[in-house]
Amino acid sequence: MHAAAPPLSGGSCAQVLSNGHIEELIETCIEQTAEALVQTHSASRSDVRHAIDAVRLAHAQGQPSDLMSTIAGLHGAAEPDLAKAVEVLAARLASTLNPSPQLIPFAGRLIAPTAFYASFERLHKLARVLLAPVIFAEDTGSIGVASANPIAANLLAEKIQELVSRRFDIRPFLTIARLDYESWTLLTHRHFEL
Amino acid sequence: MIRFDGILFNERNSRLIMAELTRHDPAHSQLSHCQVARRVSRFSFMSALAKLNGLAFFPRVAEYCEGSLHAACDTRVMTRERFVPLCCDGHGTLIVAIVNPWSLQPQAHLATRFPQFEIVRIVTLASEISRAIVSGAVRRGASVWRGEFPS
Repeated sequence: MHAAAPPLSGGSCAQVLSNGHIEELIETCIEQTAEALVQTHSASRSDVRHAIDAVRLAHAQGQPSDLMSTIAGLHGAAEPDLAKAVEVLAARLASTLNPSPQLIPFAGRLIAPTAFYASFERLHKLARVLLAPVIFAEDTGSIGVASANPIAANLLAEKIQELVSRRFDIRPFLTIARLDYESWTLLTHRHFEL
Repeated sequence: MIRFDGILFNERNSRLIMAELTRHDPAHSQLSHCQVARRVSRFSFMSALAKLNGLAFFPRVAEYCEGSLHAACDTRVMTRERFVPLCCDGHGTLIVAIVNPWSLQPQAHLATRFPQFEIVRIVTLASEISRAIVSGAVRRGASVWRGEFPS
């Protein structure tokens, strides 16, 4: 068990993940997702530019938004085709990562790790804006992250590893999984009240 | 050599596991192989196995086991080799929970029963495999007898 160490104060946590850092990470997510979409021939640069404008506008209005699903919407996919379009794009983005995160159908049914979110409020805020829920956290040594967009999940996983390492002097194991569109919308609603 | 949850890992794999556990928590560098089972949490140990093999780790899987997949497999083999098919992702992929990523038996067994699927392995706890096997068998109405099912 590694949960015995005292938590850092809110001020210390904010230092390592300030609002500015969170905004930087949103931009990093947008840029990496855009690059992967173009690299995998999933979208033209022009489509990506339009989608980025829409995503930035949504974030500025306090509404988290994902570039990959925005591209799927721009391509004219409507429910229920949107779910399929998102999954196709997600699989292509996953292929740019190593190891490539797998689609795990039951990942959306795991219970939200409320204690972890309570302990790491800034990470909860980051997870919310990246639309990447934490799907499990076992004694902070093993943590799971999932999203429809594997790049968003990957970024959150890196930040979790960094912050948990700073607080507990251990480097947690991170599992990254892909969610199907339905599970993703359900989990982001449950975890982030979106 | 490390023995964990009844699995004996060979010298090479034991060294790899120790290196991974030490990266996870530097305090583990002080452990001898025979201390690992008592001093390392199951979550951390199984996560280390998953990471070494580029697989995902999930601590809870038993509830998500589809009975029809379970019924197509030999319970004795699943119990002995510690694996259980969980579900299909709808795109030709079969998700299989395993305990020992270095064992080739689960894939060999499942490939003959589900040739139409690409098999994706995820690592879980041995206790989750046991729970999944027992609950799957009970759902099917099979009689539970000690020789076949995990305790």
